[in-house]
Amino acid sequence: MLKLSGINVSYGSYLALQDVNIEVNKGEFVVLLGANGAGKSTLFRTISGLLKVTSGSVEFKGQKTNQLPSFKVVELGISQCLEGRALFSHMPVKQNLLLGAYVRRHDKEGIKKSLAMVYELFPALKDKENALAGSLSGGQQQMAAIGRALMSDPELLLLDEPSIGLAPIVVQQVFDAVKIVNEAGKTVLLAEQNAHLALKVSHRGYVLENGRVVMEGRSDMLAGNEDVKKAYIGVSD
Amino acid sequence: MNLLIQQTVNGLTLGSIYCLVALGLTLIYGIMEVPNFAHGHLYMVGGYVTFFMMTLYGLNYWVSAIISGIVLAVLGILLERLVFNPMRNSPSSNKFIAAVGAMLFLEASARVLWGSDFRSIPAIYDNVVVMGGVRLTEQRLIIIAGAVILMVALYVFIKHTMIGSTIEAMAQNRDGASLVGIDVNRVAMLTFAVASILASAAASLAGPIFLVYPGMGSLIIMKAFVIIVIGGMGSIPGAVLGSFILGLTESLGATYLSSNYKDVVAFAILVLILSIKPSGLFAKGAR
Ligand SMILES: Nc1ncnc2c1ncn2[C@@H]1O[C@H](COP(=O)(O)OP(=O)(O)O)[C@@H](O)[C@H]1O
Ligand SMILES: [Mg+2]
Repeated sequence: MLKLSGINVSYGSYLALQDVNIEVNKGEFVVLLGANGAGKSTLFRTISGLLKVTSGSVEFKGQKTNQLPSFKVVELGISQCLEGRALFSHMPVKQNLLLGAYVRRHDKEGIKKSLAMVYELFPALKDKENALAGSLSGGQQQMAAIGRALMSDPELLLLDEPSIGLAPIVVQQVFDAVKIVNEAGKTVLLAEQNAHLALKVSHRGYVLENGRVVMEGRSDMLAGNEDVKKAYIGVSD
Repeated sequence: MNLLIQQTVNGLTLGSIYCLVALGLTLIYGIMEVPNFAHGHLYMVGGYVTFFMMTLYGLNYWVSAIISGIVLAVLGILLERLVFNPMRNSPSSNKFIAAVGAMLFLEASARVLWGSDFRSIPAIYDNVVVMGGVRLTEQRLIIIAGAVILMVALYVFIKHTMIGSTIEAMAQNRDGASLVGIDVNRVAMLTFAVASILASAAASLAGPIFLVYPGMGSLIIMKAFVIIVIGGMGSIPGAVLGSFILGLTESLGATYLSSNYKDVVAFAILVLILSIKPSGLFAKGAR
């Protein structure tokens, strides 16, 4: 469904991604592991069209997307929940969600359904629908951001470090919700530093170091790998 | 007492004009994060278009004002495409210089094309209305009513339409807006169009009372800057409140202090408010 072939991305003269090859199949839940600064966000921003490749290609459902502006990428069915959430913090939660459905703004019925689905997934958002997004707790903001990303009814959901700054119990909640979304048919690509939970819920994973993919494989295999354990789980046996 | 009411109405008239210009300036600042120094000059061109539509083509005042709005929308979009958009990824200093360049270009063009004479949009509503002992020209009431209608229309557009809310979304979070599928280029053009229409409306409303001349843009842009700094850069309620504060103090200050100090008043308020609230009355985004 998503295929990155030999992509290089640079910030000025600094090469942030080097020859990255990644493939995500329909229905999969794939995790991208990497320490701070490994290039995860750069990769995600490239997929969404916020950054352009210097070489290589990004293909989605067989169509090259690396020349497209972000809004076209969203229209094709890729929705990203950015690191840092990027909410419209001075707007009510509900309006954030409705704007999430911007690309299908004429599909009133579909929007209603998606909104009900998001509220079911994150009941806290229903209670806070009239509160300004910026006034929510960190966990609720993350839920609002994921909810907003789901409102366009994407085929592929990109989640950039949703666990950042959240208490472990909230992280668990968020991951459970993402797993439900994946089981309901959405393809998920998740970026994480913290591998412990991510490898439990995902099918496959890639490990990114200094802008290169250094390892890939099934999640249970990665979870058992000594190097991965040392670097991303913080326990070793 | 009558003088007080009279000057209050004059202050509201002035505030209304400022408000339409300052709202556009603050909208553009919100999405571009660079002040459109040429905004006052869009106001100036708007005044000229209305003036010529009436005097050269003999069109009705309102028709002329509408044509002026359309012409200015196009001019605003051109300004965005030709000056601001190419500068999108440049350092702020470059954007500033580009905006100042656009401003000088517009003023010089106006002098070359239309001369430096002061002109006045023919007044058709110059009857005097007496209300509670206060004498007002109809045009002043039209200015206030026109500004209020446009403010309400803008509010409804931004708060209650999907297209309008994209302006606010982009101002609050550009990346977030891109990733919900908003075409940020289109929003930028839309914002310039809306802001330019407001500026042109301000000039069409003001033209019969205040005059139309090439330098009118520089004068109002200074005031509009003071207003959006007072109100909080990028804030819509801040721009409205700031406009009326400035309009009223200028008008009352000129009456009760001295008209020599009229233009100093603006800067005195600026210093006063910023020393109490350094980020302005409303910080950006607080709408
Ligand atoms: N806007 C930018 N300009 C220059 N360098 C950047 C920029 N954003 C990220 N980088 C650099 O690119 C590398 C990868 O960053 P990023 O993709 O944010 O990593 P991650 O998301 O994995 O933490 C880092 O070395 C970072 O310093
Ligand atoms: Mg990151």
